[in-house]
Amino acid sequence: MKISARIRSWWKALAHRPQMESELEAELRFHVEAYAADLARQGVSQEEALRRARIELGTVATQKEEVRASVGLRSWDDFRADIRYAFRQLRHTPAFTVTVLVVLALGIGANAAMFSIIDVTLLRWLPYQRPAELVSLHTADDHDTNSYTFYADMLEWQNQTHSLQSLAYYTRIEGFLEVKSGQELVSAQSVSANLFTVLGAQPMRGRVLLNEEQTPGQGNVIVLSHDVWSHLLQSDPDAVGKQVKLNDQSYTVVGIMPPHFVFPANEREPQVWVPAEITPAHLKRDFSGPTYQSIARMQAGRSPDSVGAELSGIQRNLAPFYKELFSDLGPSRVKAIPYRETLVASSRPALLALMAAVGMMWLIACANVANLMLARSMARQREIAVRGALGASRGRIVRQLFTESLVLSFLGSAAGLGLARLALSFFSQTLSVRLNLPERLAPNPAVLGALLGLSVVSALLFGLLPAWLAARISIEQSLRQASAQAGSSRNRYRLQQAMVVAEIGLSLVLLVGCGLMLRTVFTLRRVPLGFRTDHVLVAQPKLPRYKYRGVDANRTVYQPLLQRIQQMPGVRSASLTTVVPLKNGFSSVLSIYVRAGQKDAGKPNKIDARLKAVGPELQEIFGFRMVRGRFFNQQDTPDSQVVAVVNRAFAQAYLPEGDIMENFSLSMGKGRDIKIVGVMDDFHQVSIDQPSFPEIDLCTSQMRPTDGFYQPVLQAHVEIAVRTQSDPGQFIPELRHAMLDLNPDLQTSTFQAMNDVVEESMGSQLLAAHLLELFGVTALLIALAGLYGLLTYLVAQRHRELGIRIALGAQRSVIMQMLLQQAGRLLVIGSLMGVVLAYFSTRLLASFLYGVKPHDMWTLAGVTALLFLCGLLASYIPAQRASRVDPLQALRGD
Amino acid sequence: MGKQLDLLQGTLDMLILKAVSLGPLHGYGVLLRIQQISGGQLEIQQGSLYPALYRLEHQGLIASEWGESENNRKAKFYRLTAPGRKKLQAETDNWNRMAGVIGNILSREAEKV
Repeated sequence: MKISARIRSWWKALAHRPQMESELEAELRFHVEAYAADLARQGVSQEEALRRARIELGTVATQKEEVRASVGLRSWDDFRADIRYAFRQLRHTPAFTVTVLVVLALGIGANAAMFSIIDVTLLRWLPYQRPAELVSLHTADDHDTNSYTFYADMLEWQNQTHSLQSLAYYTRIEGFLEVKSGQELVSAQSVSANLFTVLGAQPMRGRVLLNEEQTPGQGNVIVLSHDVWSHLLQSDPDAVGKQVKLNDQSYTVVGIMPPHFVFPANEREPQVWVPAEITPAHLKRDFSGPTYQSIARMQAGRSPDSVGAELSGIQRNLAPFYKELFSDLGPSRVKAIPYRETLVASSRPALLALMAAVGMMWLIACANVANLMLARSMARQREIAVRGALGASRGRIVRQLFTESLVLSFLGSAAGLGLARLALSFFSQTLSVRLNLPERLAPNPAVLGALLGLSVVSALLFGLLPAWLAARISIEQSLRQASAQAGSSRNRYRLQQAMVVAEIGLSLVLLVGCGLMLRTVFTLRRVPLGFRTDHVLVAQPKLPRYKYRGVDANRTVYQPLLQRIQQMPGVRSASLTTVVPLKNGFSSVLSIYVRAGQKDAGKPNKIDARLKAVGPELQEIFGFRMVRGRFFNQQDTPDSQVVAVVNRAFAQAYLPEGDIMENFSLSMGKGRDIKIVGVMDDFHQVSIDQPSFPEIDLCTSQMRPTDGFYQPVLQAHVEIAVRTQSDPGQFIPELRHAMLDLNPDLQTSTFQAMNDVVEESMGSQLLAAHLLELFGVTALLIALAGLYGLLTYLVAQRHRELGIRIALGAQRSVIMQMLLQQAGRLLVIGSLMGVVLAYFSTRLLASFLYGVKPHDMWTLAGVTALLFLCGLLASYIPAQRASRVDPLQALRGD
Repeated sequence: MGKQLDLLQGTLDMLILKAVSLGPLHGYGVLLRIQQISGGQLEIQQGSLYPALYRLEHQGLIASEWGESENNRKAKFYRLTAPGRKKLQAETDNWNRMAGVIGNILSREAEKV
């Protein structure tokens, strides 16, 4: 009861203030009249009675204030008054206000953008129950490289485990969903029926999968995601129970998941889920059945490490089953990784580096604003003294000044938020690809809350100390004269110097990072690729696999396509290849043991090499050199001796010394031995900063469908490289048209100019370089502005002293030198600080760098010199102004 | 009228509650009644009356409503609420107990140890 009464009266005082005040006025009026009437009855005159009554009661204004204070609203009233006053003051000094807002917007805005990114990646909300209990299970072989997860093994884990509550599995399959306008590509997952139960997800409509639906013949059911249901089925209210066609097969819709439900959580395409059909083939420990990824829920209180240890124990007993097929490459141990970690693992270093950079920018902004606040409080000394003289306590003054800082901070945050949204939309495409983010990157309540907190902390950082220092001044002295006091101003001056030094140091760190990244990009661009990229175009034909199962796509589609392309005008040559260099999408690794008779002492007896199939025209297209022997040519046919070409890395690692290449042969089964006929120069396969792997290439025109290697190199993935006469980018529409003309199933094929492939492989470094350029330059500008401001202020403070010096005969050049020396001292200290800080923080960039070490001396020295130069330039104007002080004016004026 | 006794802070609230407990009153009426029931020994400082009334209302111990005074003028009347009655009782007991204790102390003679 008491609380509600309190709330009611607060509400009345807050929201219905005029009403409360008029009521109080009426009450007081009544009181005065009643009292006056009583006095009059005692014989006092009417006028005198009224006068006395009013004096007794006190003024209406005082009563109002007292009443409000008694209800507990004094602080609130004070706060509102402070805010109004702050706005008024800020309006009076527009230059200061705008500068501070711009600096804060930059510093806080960068952080707002970063919060959004982190919120979506590291703190990603997962639409599952108690997501911390979910772990991803990965198998590894004896050499700790990732291996496959077979169904039979998962069954054993499920049966024998004590540390898991439940286990589910899934794998991605092709998903061509038929809709009114044709076929849409969706992400289709073949999953265990208990997947949704393991995740703890409930459907919005219908139901999820049942265990029976995993038996052959009963699995034609499908669960749709909300995205698919709303966009591709137009939110059909009767969708459950209807039939849809996926990969030309009919499925009955049994359930629709709620919005925001996704699994796997890092996919951006619309999803559907079908039951994984379990056949006897699954129990065989080979590739007759598909392999799955698994996700499990741990028992309460278990850790991922203990789960991994238990499952590894189980798997060790199963490893002997794989000896025949895989020798020692079979799955022999299990690792459990928290599901959330698997979603961001690759981008963690990038995020950390970004956070550090953005944090530094914020600190620089706060230091700068603190300086500005300090300077401003000096200018307002008299005003503050007057308020003190009128009775304001020190705490009250500090509160008022701090409110100004809060107002600035919040306004700056609002501006920063706007900037952040702009920046995010500008960078969203690149960021979402590089850091694997979902498409939508808008600030949400959590981010806004964090931003609010940051605003308050910023205000504390740059506002509290100046406010406290300002309130400490002696009132009497300030009122007596306007010039700076000895004691307190020295403190303030030292603080300002410290701020500028900090700014310089932090800017140095950002600039060093920027310098390192620029050098990396420069070096990457200069690395000789080993092949031509101009006028080269890459097409990746994509066929719906469900239509071409059992069909030899190479013979029926790709070869005719190749011939058609070769005949097109404007094409100099075209060739099939498994994958072009620097395209990080696919690789086939060949691992074989060397037969006893060919073992050469000093060379390893196990060969790990990348395997590719290439057409004979490839050398003409890419123009790489042969170091020894020859490349494929027209004489290599399906009936002639099967030949292979290796790269230099392979030759160095596996071929015997001397020119006895001809004796090296690999068996491809059924009596087809491969002979190596040539060694080509190395070129980078995956990315420019990684050295070449050993590689062995076979000729596409020689391969037969019955060859063991046929599937991985010509069916799993194929690309067509084309050399054009004119600009490859302009040729793409023509090419696409020709391909669709030949076979409309090639609808989803992609095209890219080779130059773009190269650029994309450097994408992360380019993005990092761009971002650091942005941060570094902004930080530098802010720091320089800080330095300039400080020196200008200094000159203004020492106006009189400089006038005296000049009057006493000091040369103007000496004055300038003096000022420049002061600036130089600040720059030196700041740079030293920055160098030390840079030493520790550039380590974060280590994974991005190429061709330059994090502690590269040249970059450090160069950036420091640049900073120094800019700093001296910025100090030049104030120094000149100092030297131009008119001694007469300085001595005369105040 | 004898010499005015100085009012302890905090006792004003108690006196207002007592005054209002005898029947609803407007602000001026509270003043008069306290004077009356104290036999003229107590006069409240008028400036602190209304803040006290609002404070008590804020705490839920009294409730207010507009009504008509003796000479048909609009005035705000205050009355005691149930929590207010309880508080008054508690404060009274407290005061009496305190008075008893202090009285005891003050009336002690010097004793042999």
